Amino acid sequence: MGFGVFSKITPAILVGDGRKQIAVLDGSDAEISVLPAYIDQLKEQLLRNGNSVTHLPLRTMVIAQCRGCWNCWTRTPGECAIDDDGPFVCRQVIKADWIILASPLIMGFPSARLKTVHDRLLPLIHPYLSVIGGEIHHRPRYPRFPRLALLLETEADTDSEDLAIVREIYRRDAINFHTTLAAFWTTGHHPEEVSHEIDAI
Amino acid sequence: MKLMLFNGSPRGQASNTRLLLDAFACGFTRSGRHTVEWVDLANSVSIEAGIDGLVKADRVILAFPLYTDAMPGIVKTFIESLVPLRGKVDIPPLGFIVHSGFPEPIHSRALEMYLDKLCRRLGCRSLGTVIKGNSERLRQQPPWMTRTVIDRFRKLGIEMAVTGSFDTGIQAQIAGRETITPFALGIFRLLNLFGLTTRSWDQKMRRNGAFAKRFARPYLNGGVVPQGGHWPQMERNNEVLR
Repeated sequence: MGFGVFSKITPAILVGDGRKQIAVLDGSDAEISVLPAYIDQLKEQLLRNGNSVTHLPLRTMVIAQCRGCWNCWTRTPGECAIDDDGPFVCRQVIKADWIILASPLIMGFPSARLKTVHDRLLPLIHPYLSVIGGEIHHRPRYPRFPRLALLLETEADTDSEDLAIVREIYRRDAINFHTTLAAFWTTGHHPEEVSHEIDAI
Repeated sequence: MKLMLFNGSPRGQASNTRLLLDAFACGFTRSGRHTVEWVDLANSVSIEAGIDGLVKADRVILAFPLYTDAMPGIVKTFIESLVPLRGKVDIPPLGFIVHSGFPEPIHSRALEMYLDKLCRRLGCRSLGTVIKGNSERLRQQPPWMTRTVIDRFRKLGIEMAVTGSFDTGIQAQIAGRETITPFALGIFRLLNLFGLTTRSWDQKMRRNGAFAKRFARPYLNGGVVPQGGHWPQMERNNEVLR
């Protein structure tokens, strides 16, 4: 049962059949961001090193804001009620070994486009709670969640404080998804360096 | 004084955010000398009008639930819509109310740092962030259970009308303990062991006929429903995280 009818599209480009499956959630705007070109280079590098890459350019998808209905927890467990491209992204994420959240910083935080999609990953965790590190957190729904990494395009006024804040927010977010923020890059890092780091972990 | 309230809950008017803001607004307007203007960000039509109203207000409050350890996407969209205002207009002092289902305020502290930096970026004074935990069931709870929290938000509104700021004492009362005491965690673990911390979820799932599928994994391998309530792999993952 869905909230509405959306035009569903499946624009992911799955390439390779490698040892690590990497999903790139690309929250950039193709017109003004350097990220699409950067991701193309990164993809080539990752493939060369024997990995599989699924590029999800979120700008080409129809993904509504999570409405907080919690049907994915209490009515159709694990399944989102919104009939758009959100469930497709969930499927790509949960089968990956790594997800790279790629986005420009806008007002010091990843784009609204990426955050909207991130909110829609809620069906991948469970409403039940448990204690982790002396704090209350959600339990996982799946036995394994991919490692999380951030790839950010900085703004003209981005400083080390901005990066530290974003890093801390996503470090905490990773705990609720029962994974770790395994890497944190900006587009200042060479794609080869990023790819090697993924291979090394 | 004119107060602009932005409700950033995707649930719109039927939200816990709105409930808390209603109490705050009730306190703020009690004297009859101050006015409040509302914008529900879930209603995108009202965002443009809201930005017009924002620059004319004396104080602005942006309230929202914590979604995946940060602001909901619609709130980020709103923040991005403020980009053209930077350095061009004077933005009034900006305060935030962040609430979540987690009991401890520590879950919202990193976001609080972001919101403080956002004010510096916008060139406006930050009124600070009021953090409220345990908020998820507020709308379902009977009035006697929510009386204290509603009263605190009403008093927060009264103080805002008098001083133009959040009262730090009430703010601290609303936030409560930063982390749960080891004793309370022990109780929680004990209740967890007997399945007593999941009762309200279980009741909802039973009502919806979904209880048998509560551990479903529909987005992987065609969906597998594990038997019982044990995830051995999950426990191992938790060990790593600890």
